[in-house]
Amino acid sequence: MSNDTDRELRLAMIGAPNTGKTTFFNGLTGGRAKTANYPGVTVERRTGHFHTLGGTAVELIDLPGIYGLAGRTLDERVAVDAITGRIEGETPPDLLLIFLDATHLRTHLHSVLELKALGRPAVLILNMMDLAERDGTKIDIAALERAIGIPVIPSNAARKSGREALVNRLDTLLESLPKTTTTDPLSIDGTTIKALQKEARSIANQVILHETGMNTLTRRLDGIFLHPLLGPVILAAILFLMFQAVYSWANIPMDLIDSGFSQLYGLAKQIKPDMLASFLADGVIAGLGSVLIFLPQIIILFGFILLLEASGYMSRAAFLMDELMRRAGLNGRAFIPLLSSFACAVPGIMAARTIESERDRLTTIMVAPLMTCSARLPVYTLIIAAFIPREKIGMFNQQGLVMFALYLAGIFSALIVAYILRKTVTKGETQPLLMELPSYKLPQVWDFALGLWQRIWIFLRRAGTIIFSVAIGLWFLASFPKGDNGIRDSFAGMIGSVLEPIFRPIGFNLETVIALVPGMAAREVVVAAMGTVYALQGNDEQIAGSLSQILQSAWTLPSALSFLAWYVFAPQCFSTIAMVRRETNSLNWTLFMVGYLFALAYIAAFITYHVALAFTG
Amino acid sequence: MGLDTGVRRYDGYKLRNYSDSNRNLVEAPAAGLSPLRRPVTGRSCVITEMPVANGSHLCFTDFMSTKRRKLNELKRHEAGRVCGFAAHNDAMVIKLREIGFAEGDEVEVLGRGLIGGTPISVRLNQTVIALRTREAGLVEVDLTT
Repeated sequence: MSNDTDRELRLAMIGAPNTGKTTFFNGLTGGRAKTANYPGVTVERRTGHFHTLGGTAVELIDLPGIYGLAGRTLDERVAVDAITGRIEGETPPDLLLIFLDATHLRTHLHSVLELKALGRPAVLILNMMDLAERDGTKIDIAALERAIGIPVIPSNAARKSGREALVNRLDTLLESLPKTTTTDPLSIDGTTIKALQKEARSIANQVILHETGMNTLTRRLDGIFLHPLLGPVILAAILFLMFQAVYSWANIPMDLIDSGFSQLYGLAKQIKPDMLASFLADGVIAGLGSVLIFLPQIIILFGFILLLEASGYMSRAAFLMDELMRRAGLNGRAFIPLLSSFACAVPGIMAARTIESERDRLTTIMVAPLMTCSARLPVYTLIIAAFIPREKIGMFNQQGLVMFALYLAGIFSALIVAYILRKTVTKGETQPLLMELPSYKLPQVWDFALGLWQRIWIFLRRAGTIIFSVAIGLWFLASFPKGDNGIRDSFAGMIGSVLEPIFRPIGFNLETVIALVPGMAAREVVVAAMGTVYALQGNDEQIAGSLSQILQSAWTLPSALSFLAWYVFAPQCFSTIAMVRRETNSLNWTLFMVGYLFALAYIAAFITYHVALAFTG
Repeated sequence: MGLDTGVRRYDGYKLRNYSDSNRNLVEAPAAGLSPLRRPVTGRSCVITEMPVANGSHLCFTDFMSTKRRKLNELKRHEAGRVCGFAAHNDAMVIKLREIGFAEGDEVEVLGRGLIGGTPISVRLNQTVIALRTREAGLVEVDLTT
């Protein structure tokens, strides 16, 4: 046992993006950090702990991927600072685990030499050996070890057996750590990097015993997915299928959840005294039930996104969208943060760290909240279910079509806003695109299940905390004090009455306005809030129905459409606003984003309401 | 770049395929560099040698080959070897090198975007890289197809 050391040994994982560092990290530490098959998934430094076989406590540091030590983007700087010990109050790591994708040895070896030149104790983890072997590549590990002068450990991060080689050797490696001091990173200019590449290529020639062409599956699939004509059609089809699926596959489980909550509601109403019954039924059950019903849709949406991320298709989508993005003045890399924002804008805004130019990054952050995040799903679904008939147009579900149109509205407004921003406040040259397209990989069942479960858990936890407390708080505010005019006499009604005149021009009634206020916390909260408000409001007839049936009688079609338009834009999410504040480190930019989004929301809702009014007479 | 040392193989290159910037054919024996090291049309050329899988690849700068292209000029499925960069110390060239482009590397254009043929997906050895035409224009390639 070597537990007697006064501090934990620190191991830092470093290497090119998408070489499996986070997968290895999760495997060793039991962590559950997000992994996917595209470069730039990890944008933060993350630490975990484990014990070696010999019992030494080790702190493992997972870092964003880097191609070199220049540290041009925020995520790269995090990595470079960590391994060079430039973080204040921190010693440099005791051992670097340099990751190299065995299938790309020839192309990436020079970055290993650059890292090695730092002079820190290091081992090379030759990851994805299984894939290299499957492709028919043979590498002479011993020769590689001799040529680069540090231990080389073959690995397959995704499997326990694939990580064993490092685990078994770690104690020996840690015992014989050489005492070295960090030398400054090589200053990289055209000459030094060319020399590194030349050295790396000649090492590669010695150690690669047999090499085949590129992965044939990837070549074949790219022939289809990146085909100039077919590619964009397939991308549109995949997105379209995703939104259709969210609609048509979720119907049955949603109906089940709905009837379950209706029964619970009925039971809770029987409870005496009446006040408790109202609290449980109108506050808790109506509030929670109106949000939890959307769980099946959330599962389907995230299932699709996870599959796209894990398979390697995500960066192909970025490729296909690049020219469109460029014309909007956005970086091609911006597509991945924006696509992540379909799940949630918060990780999307963080993912913008991979963008080198500060202007591009700011522009991306500013428009990320326009992407239709999963929290809008409950809002959209609720209104669509109430006001759009469940008919089919040709082979397409009409409700799914409206949902698709709302997503498109988000995407196009993001492109337009980005274009305007780039012409005005974030003027400057567009940054180049330079991105590795990873080989296609079959998603791992366990990773998929874990990723999906994490999303479900986040949704449930939010339902259990924010939404739950909002529903209860609102029940109280909307129930007291009692008066003749129902909800209007309550505290919530008083607040709502103040705001009502502002929202009347866009067709929102008092109940909607009351629900919008707690809805600032998160978008789906508005649904729970309306569940509670309308449950309290409702007469016996309405109580029997679900929230969407209540809305059918309480709202007009123009109001409903106006509400949808409002939610395409409105920045009703505290976490997003807080994240923008953190990542821009600027109150002005944060206020600007909130301001322009509310302004757009109001204008869009106003136009929608009045156009719809004109059509419906 | 050590042209005077040792015996090398030249990766099947037929040096007589090269011509100078005035499109004058340069006669040179397939294995022997002496004719090329003489000044060609009044200028001397720089010959860089990069190791490749089965020997060495010679990069001729400063005079044009009929098979010399910029990477953005390659059509789908055309392949070649990187033989240099448009600028030596340009920040973008350093980035291209960092992601893996180097003299002697095999490149092949796998696909191009619908609008304006951009972006381009390029096979670089066994890796696939996406870049826009503008950046691809910095990479000089000798066609092998």
